[in-house]
Amino acid sequence: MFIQTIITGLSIGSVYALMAVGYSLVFSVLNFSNFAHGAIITLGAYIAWALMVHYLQVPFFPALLLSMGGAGILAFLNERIAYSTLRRRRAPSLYLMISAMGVAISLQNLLYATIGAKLYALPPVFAMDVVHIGELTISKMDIFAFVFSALTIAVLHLILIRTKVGVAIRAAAHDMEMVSVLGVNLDVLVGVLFFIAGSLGGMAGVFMGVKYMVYPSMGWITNKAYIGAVIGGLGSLPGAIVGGLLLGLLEALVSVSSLGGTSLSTYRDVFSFGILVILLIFKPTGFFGRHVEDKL
Amino acid sequence: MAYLEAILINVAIYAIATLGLAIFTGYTGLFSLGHAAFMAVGAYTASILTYFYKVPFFAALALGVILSVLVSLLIGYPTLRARLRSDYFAIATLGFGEAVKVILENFDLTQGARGLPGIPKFSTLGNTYLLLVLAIILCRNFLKTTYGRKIIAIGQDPVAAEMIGIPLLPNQLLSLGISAGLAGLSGGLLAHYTTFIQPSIFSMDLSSLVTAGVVCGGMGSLTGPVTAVALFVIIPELFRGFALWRLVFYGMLLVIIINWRPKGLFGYEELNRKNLPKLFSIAGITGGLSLFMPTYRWVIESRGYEIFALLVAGAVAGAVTVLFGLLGKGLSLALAPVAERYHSLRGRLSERVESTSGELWSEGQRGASCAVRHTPDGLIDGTTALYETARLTPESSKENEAANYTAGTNVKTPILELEELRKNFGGVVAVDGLSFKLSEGELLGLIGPNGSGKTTVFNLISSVYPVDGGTILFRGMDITPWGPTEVVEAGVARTFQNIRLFGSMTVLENVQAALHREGSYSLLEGFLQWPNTVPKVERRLRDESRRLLAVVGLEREADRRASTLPYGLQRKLEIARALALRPKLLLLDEPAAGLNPREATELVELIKRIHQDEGLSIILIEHHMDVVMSLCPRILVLNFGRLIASGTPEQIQKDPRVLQAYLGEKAYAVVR
Amino acid sequence: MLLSVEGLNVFYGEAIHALRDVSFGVEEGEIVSIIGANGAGKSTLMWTLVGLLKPKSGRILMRGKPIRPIPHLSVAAGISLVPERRRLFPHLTVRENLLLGAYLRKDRKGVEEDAERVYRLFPILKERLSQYAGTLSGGQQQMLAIGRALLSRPKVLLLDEPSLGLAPVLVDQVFQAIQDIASTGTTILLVEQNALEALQIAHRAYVLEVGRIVLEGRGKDLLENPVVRAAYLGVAQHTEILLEKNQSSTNTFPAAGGEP
Repeated sequence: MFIQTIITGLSIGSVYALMAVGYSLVFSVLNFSNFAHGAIITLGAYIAWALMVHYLQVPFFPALLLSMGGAGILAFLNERIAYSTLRRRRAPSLYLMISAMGVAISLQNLLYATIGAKLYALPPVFAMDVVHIGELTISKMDIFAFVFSALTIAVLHLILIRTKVGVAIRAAAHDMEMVSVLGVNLDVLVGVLFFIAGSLGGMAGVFMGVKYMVYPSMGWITNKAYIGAVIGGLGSLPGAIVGGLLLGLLEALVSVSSLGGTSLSTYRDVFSFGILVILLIFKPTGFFGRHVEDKL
Repeated sequence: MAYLEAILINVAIYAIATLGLAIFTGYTGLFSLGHAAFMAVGAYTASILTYFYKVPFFAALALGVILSVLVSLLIGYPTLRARLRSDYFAIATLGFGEAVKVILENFDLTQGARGLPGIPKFSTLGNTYLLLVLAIILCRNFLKTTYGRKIIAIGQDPVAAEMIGIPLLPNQLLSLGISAGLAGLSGGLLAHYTTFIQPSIFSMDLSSLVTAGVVCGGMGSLTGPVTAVALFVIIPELFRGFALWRLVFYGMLLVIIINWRPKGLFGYEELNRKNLPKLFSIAGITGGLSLFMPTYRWVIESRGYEIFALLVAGAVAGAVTVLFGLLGKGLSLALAPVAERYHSLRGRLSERVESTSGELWSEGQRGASCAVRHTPDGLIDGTTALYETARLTPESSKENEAANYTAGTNVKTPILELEELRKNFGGVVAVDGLSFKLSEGELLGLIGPNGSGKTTVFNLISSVYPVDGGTILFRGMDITPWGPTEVVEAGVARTFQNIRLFGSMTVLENVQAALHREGSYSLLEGFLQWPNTVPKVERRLRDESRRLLAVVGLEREADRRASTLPYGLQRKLEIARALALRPKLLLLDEPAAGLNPREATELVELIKRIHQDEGLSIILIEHHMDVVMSLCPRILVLNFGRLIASGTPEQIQKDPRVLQAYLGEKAYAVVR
Repeated sequence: MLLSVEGLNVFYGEAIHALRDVSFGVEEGEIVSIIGANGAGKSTLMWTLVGLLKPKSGRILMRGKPIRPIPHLSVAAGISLVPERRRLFPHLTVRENLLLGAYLRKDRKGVEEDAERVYRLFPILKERLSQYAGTLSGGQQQMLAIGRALLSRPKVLLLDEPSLGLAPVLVDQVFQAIQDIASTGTTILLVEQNALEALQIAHRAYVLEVGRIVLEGRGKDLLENPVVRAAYLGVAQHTEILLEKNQSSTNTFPAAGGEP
């Protein structure tokens, strides 16, 4: 039973990790919490729905790739419209965060106003296939999601280590101004960064959509992923992975435990937010993170 | 008409909540994204009391306010104490907001997520507007007190605020308490208007509405946020049927404002004669828009042509907008002579104060005028004005003064003693076992190449960060472990290399802010602007501030916004503000940086005057050799965090170690 | 004139007029030093040349053609900056730092050649290629920063206070290296607080005071100038400064054609 909980925790944790990587990637370079990421994740799920259910009958894998691309483009546009002016003006990270919230509110409610609040289901991929290992049951979809996420993050890692753009991104995380003086066009670099983060988000959205449902306030779940990123340390990619997985595990454990007879599962959300607040107060750098002071 | 009443009541209710957030976010500079939580506390408290316990309305509201304040202090204390960077703080408030909501959903007394129906409808147009007006008056009064100025100072520059002795935590908590109280009041009024509340009402959407009101209305203003929230409530009503788009609209507006007009509608300004047209234009646009739909429908019904209807509606809307705009401008112009008379009256009053301090100022002027010599094309030939200044002070008197203070061995009571002071940053040693003594009333110079640790020494004395080793003794007391505000209270004041003024406050207010320890009336008296105590104290503070401005020669700029001052005058203002702290020891960090020769000479005169008239002990960091040489009878030279030489200007100039520090090992000095 | 600046006016916000009508020029192959006190505007000038600050008025010309004040175009225009306090990327390796200087270049062979030259100039860098730049000492970091700038094969190398925070022995090494680089044909513009070193190696020099150029002349001449001595060398008029002869360095920086 315990191991089953672990498996459950890891499976949701891997999706959290994917989302958390998106947050941390942007944070590492631009030093702000991109709350619009949740909206991008949601839109990724909706693109998949539009492709697979509503307008066309695109099979899963192509739909996944198209959703990733679409979400990446949307994230790129988001940066252009809502952040690039502030970034060029070297505005404090708080302003960027507020702009992000504005985008999140707009997009989420745009979905409500146009498509509506109805929950949609994405066609069950791998049907309800499960794999049995002894007493454990793991759904094939979860295995796929876990493996595919891991592969994508590995590719991301290679990009950051091996390519010129990747090195430039890592350098920009430390000193964006200097990087521009070395000839890097920051607009292009940041655009690429957001495309990557958006694609990862889109993927996470599709997996969430398959696992659960598609609805406008899906973005809310990503608040949890954000907490995972904070636990691991904002700005650190390995931290995001560890944090996301850890959060998934902790949530799964809390869901099935009880304190003095009362189930704690309803308090799961308070628990997550409680961790967030406590972390921010006592250790905002999380496990691996880097703390940058407000530029006074 | 009931419909109009509903809109107006909603405006009042949300305006009260926004006022509260304006104090916390707009003035103190701390972004709270979970303020709906305080509205929830106020709403639930008041509702439970009136519904279950039949408590009278105003008493229930008051208890709701009190509970909101208490909750805010409970949440605020650990969060503010952690001194998070601004976006982390905002996220923490978000977390708290959600936590409160979830707790309410799971609490039996509040009937959980189902909500509380059947609340008596006690909120009326009359009492909501009464409370709104009261809230506005109280907030206005508060901001004009010493308490309010402290909060505004913190919002402008927390580091500088601490450096003039304003402790951050208690003042931020005060600001939070006031804003939470107002939010709680608003929540109580809301509950008794809608008669049904559930936790989901107090969501992030509500918090965003209020936050958007402050951001779009303008930080540092009360008029702005109230206007903005009014618009946020009214405009969606004009486009009924587009209810879902309301939030899309807010979101977009937030993005637009923060990107292109971060000051908002009324940034750092209140309503006055000059921006009256702005308010009228906004009202005009709103009025025009509100007439658009009804006109459109009326034309459609009577004539039926859609395009025609659009044109007519557009024309009417446009006409109303223009009309209001003209009205605003006209009113503004009509009030101009009234404003003139008001200002001239104020001017005559302040002139009387000026005439007594005018003499000090003109003396300074005379001193400044004799040392400048520029050739027309800006190139200085022969001798620079700076070099000239070095010869102003006769050699003999410097030697006399130096004899009293040589090398710290023959000192009178030392006012400051540093012993083996050490500070590391990561691997770099900034201060390496520094020791020296400063005598009372001495004017000491501290020089050294860039990166030699001079500013670090100041930062250690004024406790910007802790020491890694050694002790600092001030007037015999060990101040090494003390915090910045305690050091200020003990009598140490400093200026900064890169000026840290409170930009949006006036010149006078900057100095007044530093006099915060001398205003003695209670918070309650402040809220009410109690006629017996408050005006007297405020006038005394203003007069004292003017006197200090006159000492540095800035009394004519008293009502100017500090950020509009030219660079040289900003430096002077920093000095006046430091003097307001009644220091025994003044630390001046490169006061001549960026000054042209004339300004530098004025500065030299000013420092001399302060030193003699106020009897201060002064340590001066400078790179302008001539400034240091002409002012300081004794100079310490630092390099790589260590003291390498100490003596009179002449001794320093000939000291081979000093030359080596500045010139490198290749130089030998030979004195003929 | 390789690089010329005409009537540059730069403001910080509204109140601070940091550079006032600054005009000067650098000929090809020259070493030009600009000295001035703290706050005189030296770094402001460097940042403006690279495009990090936009001038309110004035022009910057490279071989007579005006260049646009945009940071990522400055390298393309042939200007490479060694910034004040180095500004390396501490969590990247020495090699990664170095190669970032060649970000825009497409000629792999040329980049490797230039890298070799940097290793010959600063052998210690070759030994530490895979170490994190943050673990280097101050002097080594300065060398790496210079190497990084050289890897773009600039027409003009800008150095902002190269002596800052370095012990005197290291300062000598750095200035020797600067001379070596210049001897291969790279044009050098440097700003310094350490007036002595800066004036010694300069062909021509300018004095910047509160944002204005107040003196210009040959390096040697300014060294003797009493105004400069009083204000910037901190010595009174009657003090004479004796200087050691310059030693020739054993580290030579070969010309682009590969000649020793």
